Amino acid sequence: MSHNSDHHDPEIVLLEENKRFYTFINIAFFLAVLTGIELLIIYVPFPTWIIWTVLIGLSLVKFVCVILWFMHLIYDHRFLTLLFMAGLLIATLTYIAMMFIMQADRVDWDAIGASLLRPQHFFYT
Amino acid sequence: MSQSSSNTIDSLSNNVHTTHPSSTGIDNKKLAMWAFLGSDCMFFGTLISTHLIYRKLYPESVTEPKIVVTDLFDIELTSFSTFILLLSSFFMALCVSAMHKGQIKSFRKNCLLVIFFGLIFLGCQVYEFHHFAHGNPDKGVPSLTLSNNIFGSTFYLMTGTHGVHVAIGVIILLVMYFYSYSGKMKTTHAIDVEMAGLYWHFVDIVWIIIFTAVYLVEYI
Repeated sequence: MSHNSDHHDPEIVLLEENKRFYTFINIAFFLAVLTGIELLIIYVPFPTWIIWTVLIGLSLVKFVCVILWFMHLIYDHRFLTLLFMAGLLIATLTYIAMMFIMQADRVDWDAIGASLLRPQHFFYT
Repeated sequence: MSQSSSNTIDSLSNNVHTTHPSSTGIDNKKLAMWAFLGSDCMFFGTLISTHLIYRKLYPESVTEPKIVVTDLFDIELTSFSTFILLLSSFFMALCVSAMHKGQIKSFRKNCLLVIFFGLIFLGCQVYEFHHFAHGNPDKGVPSLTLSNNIFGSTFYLMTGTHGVHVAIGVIILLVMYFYSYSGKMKTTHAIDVEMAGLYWHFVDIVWIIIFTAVYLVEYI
């Protein structure tokens, strides 16, 4: 349902907004609980990959809850979701591209250290 | 204040949702705001990516001064800030809802709470920055500044930019709060409050990512 284009009947708007009030309370409570779990899980002696997965999963759930209900995307025009997701997609692709460009896992520290020690390093290629 | 003017200011539900028609069927302000938020996603995406990649490239063992990030961070304080920001998002949602219902008193009450929680968040961030910048010489924790460490450069730039966004949000809400007392606020302004709400919630979701990707992962 679109927030501003489908109807303008004040009574219906009032009714819908009152329904949303309880949704907002539930979402807020849910988000607080998820944040608590995030804080606790880092102290639990689980394997690292499990903690990573849980943390990323919980963040995504929180993220989706806020954009869908608090930011009204679930009630609004679908084009707005596409518009926002386009930005999010480009941001994610930027991160992936940067990871590849920087080759974060393949840094040869010895080679870097040796090249920095050469006095001509800054003057010659 | 007369009864008639009191009704005008406190109950504005007579002509709820009067928006201008547009060719897309979406209010132009809303469309512009979502386009802006999409672009801001890219902006924060780049800042967070830079931080994570440099964190990987320059781990604690190779940076000078050697900073053990978990000694520096105060995860309880950051968690408290996160709770505060989530709570402010809840009140922001109620604020927008109140405006759609034309309940100006409820709008003011919730708006004030959002401003209050936003200021608490900013206070926590200022305290955190001050704490990081001075370090803790007694416990052997060196200071972390914008220029003495690559971690500091990317960390302050990212969290500082987020803080500036929160500060701008607080200023926008303060302007709306005081404007509501001018008697000029109408239900047609509900869309403006909604835009402020979108901005505020966006700041919240950025923090959700930062809290996990920057703070919590350091403890794994």
